[in-house]
Amino acid sequence: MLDTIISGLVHGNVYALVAVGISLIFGVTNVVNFAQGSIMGFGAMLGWWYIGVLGWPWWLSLVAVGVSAAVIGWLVNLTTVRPLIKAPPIAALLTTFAASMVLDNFSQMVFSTETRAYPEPLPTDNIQLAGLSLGTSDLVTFGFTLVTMLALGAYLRFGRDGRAIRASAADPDAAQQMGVEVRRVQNLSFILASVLGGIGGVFFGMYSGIVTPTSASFTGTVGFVAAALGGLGSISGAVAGGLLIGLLEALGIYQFGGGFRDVFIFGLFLVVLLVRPHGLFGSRRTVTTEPMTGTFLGAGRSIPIGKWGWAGLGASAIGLPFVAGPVVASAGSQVAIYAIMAIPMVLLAGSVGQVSLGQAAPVAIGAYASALLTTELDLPFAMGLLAGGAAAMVISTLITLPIWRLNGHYVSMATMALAYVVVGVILNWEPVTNGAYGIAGIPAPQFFGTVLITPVQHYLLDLVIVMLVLWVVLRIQHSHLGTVLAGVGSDETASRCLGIHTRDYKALAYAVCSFCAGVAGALLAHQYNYIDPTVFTIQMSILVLTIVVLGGLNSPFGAVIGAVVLVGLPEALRIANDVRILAYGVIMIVMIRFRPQGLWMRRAS
Amino acid sequence: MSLIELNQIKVSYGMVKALNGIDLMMNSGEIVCLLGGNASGKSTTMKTILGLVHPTSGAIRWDGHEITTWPTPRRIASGIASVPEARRIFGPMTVEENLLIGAYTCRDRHLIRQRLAEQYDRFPRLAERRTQTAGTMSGGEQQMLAFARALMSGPRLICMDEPTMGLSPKLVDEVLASIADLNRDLGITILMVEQQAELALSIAHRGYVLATGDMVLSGEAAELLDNPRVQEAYLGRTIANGETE
Repeated sequence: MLDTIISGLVHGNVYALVAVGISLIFGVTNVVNFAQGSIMGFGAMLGWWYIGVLGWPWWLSLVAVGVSAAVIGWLVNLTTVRPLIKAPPIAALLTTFAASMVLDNFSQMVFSTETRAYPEPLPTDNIQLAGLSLGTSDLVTFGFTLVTMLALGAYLRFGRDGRAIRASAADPDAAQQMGVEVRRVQNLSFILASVLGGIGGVFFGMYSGIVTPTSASFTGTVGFVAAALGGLGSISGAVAGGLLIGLLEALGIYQFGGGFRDVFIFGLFLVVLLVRPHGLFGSRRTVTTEPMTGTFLGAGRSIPIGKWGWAGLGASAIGLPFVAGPVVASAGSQVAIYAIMAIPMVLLAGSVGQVSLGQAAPVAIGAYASALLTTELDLPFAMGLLAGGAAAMVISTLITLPIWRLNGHYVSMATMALAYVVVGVILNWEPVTNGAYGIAGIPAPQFFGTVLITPVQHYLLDLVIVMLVLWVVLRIQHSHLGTVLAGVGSDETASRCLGIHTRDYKALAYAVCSFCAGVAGALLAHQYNYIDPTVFTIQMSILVLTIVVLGGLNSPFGAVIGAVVLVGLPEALRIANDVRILAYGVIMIVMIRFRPQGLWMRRAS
Repeated sequence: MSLIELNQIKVSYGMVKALNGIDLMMNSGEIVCLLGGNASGKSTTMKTILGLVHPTSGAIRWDGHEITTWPTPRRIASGIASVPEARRIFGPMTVEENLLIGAYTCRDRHLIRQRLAEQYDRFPRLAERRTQTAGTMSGGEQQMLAFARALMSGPRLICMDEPTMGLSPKLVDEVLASIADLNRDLGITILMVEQQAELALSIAHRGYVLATGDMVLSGEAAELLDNPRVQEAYLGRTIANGETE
């Protein structure tokens, strides 16, 4: 038991290091730096390389990792945050997320996805103390974290630039008027945060013993849970949050086994965000309620298509597989399924200005619901499809209901957490979902006895649903409801003053997205015949988002174009998966920086 | 020679023109009051002097130097300080930390100590509360802190954006009195934007009147107080019967 507590505290130290960085940056720039976890992941791999491959002593490696991480953090700020500092926070939220995708995949390319044994530069169980076995390694982690935190605290309190960091966090405009160089302070906070994150990565490697680029960066995500638990922006809260998560995780695994780890941690994250978004130690004041998108992303008007345009597009979409053959048809099904997920996002990300980072959650719910209903209860396909959509909508919307009071980062983090929780539950709920083995033998789509088996048939079915979704979303956009949704997005306070229940409308937009995502999931299940939890990754969620950003946040047809470019082209050109994700990240950063209104949009004036 | 001179300053925010080529001049030791309605360009003028916005054309001369392209920190270091609108003290930080941020551009530790002592001398109330969290102080005390914080950079010119905003009438008098004191005792030049035009003009030497980005009127404070246009627009008096309400 005491062993468990100690190992929990050691892990907690690492989470605290990452969380402090997240809170530091959030305080100064009001941006949740999603790349922070990836910087930790990269730091872990760099540490492996310095200590294990180059054979450097551990202390030199720590310094080298710190310096490398500082450079990466500075670059992340330079490329993704600073150029967008005047833009609404959603811009930097998306670009730091994109930066994390780029970093993760870069790390996988450089260090390969192989699992590496982490070198043991320090003994891990050489000290026996009252029946406990400890290692110098643990003591170094403890001591280093303690000293770093104290030094950081003193710097923020007594250092000239440290005080400037706090002043900028409290009121950036006033700080600027006192002669504080806000840019410099921002750079400084990114560099400090990245050094902490990178070194945290090395400690992670030292206690876990094995690393892969993904495992390390995933552990970094736990840092967000810790930062949110402590209250975003609160440094001491981040430390407490980190230690608390470490302890809870260790005790949870001790009690329920390691399989529940993700569900447990991200479930806790979700609960904190829903119930107490300002965290255990943060002040309510820091919870932002400003609208996220405003007139930045998706500004301007959708390029009109016209009656004949639609007819021509429809005809060529229908005719495509007959001309181009089954290979193109199956790529086309993929495009269509992603379009079904992405089109309604126009209402959520475009109209009400909220970003879901977890569309994989409703997709997974829809897929499993439909698969289980048709295999276990022998329900017809059409019923499964609708039930999949309904289940996805009801479950996702009900769980996230409280979060729609809030905006921005909180919504994005909550939806992301939901995706982890849903996949975690599917993985662990073996009696129903068959866990990691997945569900096989899902019947092919079928209407009135006609079974659709060929890729061309699947493609045509998906196409019909794409058109339906397009029609519905366009109708909503141009209806009274669409106007209200856009009003909530462009000025929430004003909308509330007009008596609009803004929370309900945001939730409604999310519900529409979840329903469509559920239907898309069901289609996926019945066309693959087999699903397992690994299908519904965070990459899926991000792809959906990138598609809408690329097409233009207010343009439903833009989402179709986005899907063709991001899903269709790589499929047709057979581009390797890791290159794709790297490209998604770069495309997202470039689009937001240089063409925030999206491809299928004209500038407003 | 004038301490600061704005020459044909034009500022625009994107498509919107905020200042259409204004001139403004202040002599050392003056209190100058900037009047004008909403969106007349008062705050933009302040921000231009502080270097927070940059003019599209025109020049700013400060103490014989052309400073039009200088960044804010350099202007602060050369003796321009700011008391921002609504005070904007750093709420979560202590009184002393607020003061130290005021001296951010000064790197001489000895000088900082000395200035800190001067502020505590001038505002004994702040000395009592040096370790208190600034956000928990009263409005009047926060205004005091905002003045002291501006003084920490050793300024010759302080730009004050509505220093009496949100204060009770009694405190307004106190604040104006302390502005006059700063000017008299320390010889600091003060540029002040004020809504309460009559009170402001009562301590000012001169004044300027802005309207939608143009400087429409300027003169001695007493002249402005008697000017019917000023009276009508800013002092709540009507020309028709000339009576005070």
